[in-house]
Amino acid sequence: MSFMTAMDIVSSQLSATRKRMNLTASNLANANTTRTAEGGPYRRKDVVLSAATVNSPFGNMLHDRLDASLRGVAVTDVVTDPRPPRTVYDPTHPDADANGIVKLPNVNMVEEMVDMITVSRAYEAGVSTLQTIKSMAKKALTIGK
Amino acid sequence: MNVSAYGFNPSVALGRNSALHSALSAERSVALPRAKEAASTTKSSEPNAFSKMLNDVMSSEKTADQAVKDYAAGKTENLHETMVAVAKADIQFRMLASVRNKLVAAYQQVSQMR
Repeated sequence: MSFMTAMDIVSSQLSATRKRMNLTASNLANANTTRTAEGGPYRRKDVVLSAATVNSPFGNMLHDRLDASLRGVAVTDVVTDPRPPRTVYDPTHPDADANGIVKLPNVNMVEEMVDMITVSRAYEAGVSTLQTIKSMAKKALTIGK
Repeated sequence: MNVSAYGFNPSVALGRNSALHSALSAERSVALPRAKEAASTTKSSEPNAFSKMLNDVMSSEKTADQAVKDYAAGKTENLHETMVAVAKADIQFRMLASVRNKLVAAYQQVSQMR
């Protein structure tokens, strides 16, 4: 059922987008965190997205060649940003080294805000796709009237 | 029958037509024995197809109901999955309703032949 397949694809996109939003929230929340379990300041995290097959209950039975080439999206990995931490001179900070330098997370607030807007717009795009699919299905049903 | 439980169901609040539901449950109780009869005697596949479709819609409605219940219980991780399940059930239900309307219209056409 192709309407349903399209809905599953959009659903996977919305899930992936929500995970990206969680990471953005994590990055923003830890923009000034100097202590982590791994030691050192928090490091910015990012997602790795990959194309994934859609597995809908209908899809298994009705996979034709076109359906088989359809891909949803999935978050396959969370990677740590390799950029070096920000360094600030602040001898009064409890985590400052012998020279008074504090290592702060490599999170750029402006970059995160831009990411957040992108993610929010991507989610909106997914929802509009869903609404378009729904209205197409409803339009198709008016043929019978 | 599960349909009778829909009167107390949260999915009603999401735009489900309970009157149509009860009409369909009546339709189903008629359609099911008729389907068996048709399969054994006349080989007509029409009522059979309809009740099969009804079962499909029922199962996707159950999925949607479970999704809504899970959301209400705080078990849902993704709200959009609930909404997608409800939207799927909604579209399938509309499809079922329009097929049912067609069947009733066809019956009325035949009944007026005299």
